[in-house]
Amino acid sequence: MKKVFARTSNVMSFSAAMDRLLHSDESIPKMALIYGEPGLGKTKTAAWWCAHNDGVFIRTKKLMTGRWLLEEIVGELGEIPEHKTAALFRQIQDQLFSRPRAIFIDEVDYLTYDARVIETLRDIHDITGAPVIFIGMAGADKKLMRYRHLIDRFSEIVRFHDLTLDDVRAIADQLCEVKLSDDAVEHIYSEAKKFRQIIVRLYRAEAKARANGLKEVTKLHLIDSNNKDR
Amino acid sequence: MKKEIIAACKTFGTQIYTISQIAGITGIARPKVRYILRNLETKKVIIRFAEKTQHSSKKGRPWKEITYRNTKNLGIVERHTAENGWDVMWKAVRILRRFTRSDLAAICGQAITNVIAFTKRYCKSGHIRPNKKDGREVLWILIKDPGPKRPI
Repeated sequence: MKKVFARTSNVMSFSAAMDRLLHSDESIPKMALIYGEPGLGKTKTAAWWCAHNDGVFIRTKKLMTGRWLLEEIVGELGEIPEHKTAALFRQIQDQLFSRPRAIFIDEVDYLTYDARVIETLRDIHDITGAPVIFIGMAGADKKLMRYRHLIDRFSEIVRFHDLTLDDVRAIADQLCEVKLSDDAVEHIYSEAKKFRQIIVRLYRAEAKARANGLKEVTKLHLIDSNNKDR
Repeated sequence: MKKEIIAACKTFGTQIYTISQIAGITGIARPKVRYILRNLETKKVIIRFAEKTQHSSKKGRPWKEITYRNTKNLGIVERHTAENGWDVMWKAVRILRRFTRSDLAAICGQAITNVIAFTKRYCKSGHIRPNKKDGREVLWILIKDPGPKRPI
């Protein structure tokens, strides 16, 4: 298995949304919402983007208060947090003015019940103009609906969906070291829709090809190996 | 010589100290100590707390006794090189918190040999640890997080 980051349709739409967000006009708000079912790679995609670009990643916690969040952001921006809340906000402001960076807020669902925290993030965006990206679970869009002025600021909303047949084909092409026939890809797609499940099947296909010296793995080979496993 | 002076400065912790004290501890000539401390002051690694003109009782002109205090940056190695693969991996490790070597190689676009070297180095320094000694797909956990700057 090749050690590369698979560009699925979800990753491509995330990447395109980030490009639009960063290169949009000043008058366009720079907030975005990424949401979807667990296990679809939202956090890993954000980690991949942050690793290759200038981004700050904050993983929220259930008990997080506004002050705690500000302290985390200041720490991530590379400063030592001050004691007063006003000073913390000023530190964030100064840092983002001197070096604008995208701020990712993971598990934003935890914060949807606290209007003060959500509004603080909106304030950071409004004052500094730095892109703020919310990452949430399925239904995060509905939870945030009650903050009308926040929803208005989302210029990009990306929903991570289950992987499609084309995605499975793309993953197989990018990661698998042996060639998979079309019927083999369709077979894997019929059995698995999540990334990890697909990877397990691709591992099996590779092992089968190695053991039998195959150049191309077909559906028959996969069914055969499944039967033997059982 | 600079290392000795920095070590002597560190022994004072948050307390103030003078050039004479540092010269006394290190045994280095006062003018050389003064020169190095002045350099550290311009780099904002230590701060000038006070200065007092001392009048010699015998002969010679009056001299200054400068008092310094340490900042948190004293002794921290400054990076002068561009961001490299290890910095990218450090960023990813802090985001993921629990990861496999394959995850890191895929997300950061690094060679697996580089990832192995990285995990070994930071395991030795106590920043990360594996969940098991060997086997397939060992899960690594970040246990010490000093911040976004990669510890050198």
